[in-house]
Amino acid sequence: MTARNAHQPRRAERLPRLGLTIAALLLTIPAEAQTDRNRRLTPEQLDTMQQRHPGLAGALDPANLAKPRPTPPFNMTGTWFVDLSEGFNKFRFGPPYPEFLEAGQKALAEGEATRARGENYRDSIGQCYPAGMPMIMTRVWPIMFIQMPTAIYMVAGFTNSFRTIYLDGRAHTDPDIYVPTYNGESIGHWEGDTLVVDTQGFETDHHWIDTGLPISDQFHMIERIRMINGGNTLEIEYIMTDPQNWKGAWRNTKRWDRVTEADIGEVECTEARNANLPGTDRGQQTLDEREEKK
Amino acid sequence: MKIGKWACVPVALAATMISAPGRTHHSFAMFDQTQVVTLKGQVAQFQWTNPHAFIELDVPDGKGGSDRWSIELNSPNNLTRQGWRRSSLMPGQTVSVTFNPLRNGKKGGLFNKVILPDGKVLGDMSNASGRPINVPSAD
Repeated sequence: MTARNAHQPRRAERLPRLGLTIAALLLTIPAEAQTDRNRRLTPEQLDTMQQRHPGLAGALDPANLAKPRPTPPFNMTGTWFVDLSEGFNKFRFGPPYPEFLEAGQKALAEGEATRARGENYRDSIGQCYPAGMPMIMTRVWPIMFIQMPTAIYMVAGFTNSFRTIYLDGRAHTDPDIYVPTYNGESIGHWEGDTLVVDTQGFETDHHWIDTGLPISDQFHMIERIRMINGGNTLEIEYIMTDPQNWKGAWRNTKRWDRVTEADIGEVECTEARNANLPGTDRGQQTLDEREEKK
Repeated sequence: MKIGKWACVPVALAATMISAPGRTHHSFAMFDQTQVVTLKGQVAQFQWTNPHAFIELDVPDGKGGSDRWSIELNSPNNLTRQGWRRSSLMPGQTVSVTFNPLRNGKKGGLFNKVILPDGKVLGDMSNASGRPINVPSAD
């Protein structure tokens, strides 16, 4: 038994405790509610069980959706594919790069040397870490947006990465409460014909830009989104700052074309499948294990 | 490394693909896209999964046994558009697989094409341009 397990009861010991816990929970629900399927939990009981943010209407709260708002200048609802007409490397966000500080300079040099040896460098996406913003936007898989009056919902074709851009006028969540995420917390507002999206609150663990360039918890992103080409092309200017990792603003502009004969399907990254993909670190481990067995 | 005893032919077209990092699930730095290798063997497994399909191929080692090779393919969506189906490869079939080998010499590669037992060829290229279907012609 490992040290970690030493403090945990055996499964057989846990089961009666689980039963007692369930019984205790049931006792807190009125007896009528246990027998009458039309009865509902009291708001107080619900409040202890569900995830919510008291005092702030959800983006899909019918009352929030129904609030009068100006007609937006465009609607991003659709399926989109990154424009690679200027070259396949356009899926990257540089070069040109900003002036990196120590960690970024080190990553650029190490990445170049590692790839020159024919090895992966910080290929965390290949180990099933989320690509995160902004790299999830350019995975050479389609992306879908659904625009509601209160929010724009995004699901990326690659690993179904989910993102919400709130449009209902809310402010960023208190950083002392917000749980950092790979796509960050995005708040949008309209400036003329442009949707300006402010994103912060990023998870930094194995979260890279391009080939292994690091970000810190001070990473901040502004997107200026325009609809061009008669509603068939999205143009997004990225303005990214991270005073711990580079000087000034890192700017890059990309386009996405509307695709009509495409849908977003379910796509997962799993370690078991990676074991058969020789281009991943896990796949390399499989090849080594086979050689050892021979 | 045993690749040398098999057909190992640099192809100019493949050289044009060096700057194409691949299908972007992950880095493709480990594959030498200036080299192609063709191996004949028996399909042990063909997995039709996102984000990549793959082939496990048992190749005779010349000593009465076999070596297992792992070959990584494009996504099923792109493969479907090139004529692939889940049933395109069945375990036990003897096929010839052409791929870009790993730079480190281990037994794996990035799929280019397969010749099926009936002579039919399935590739990872678009028929029209001769280039991989999700790599733009600008490269």
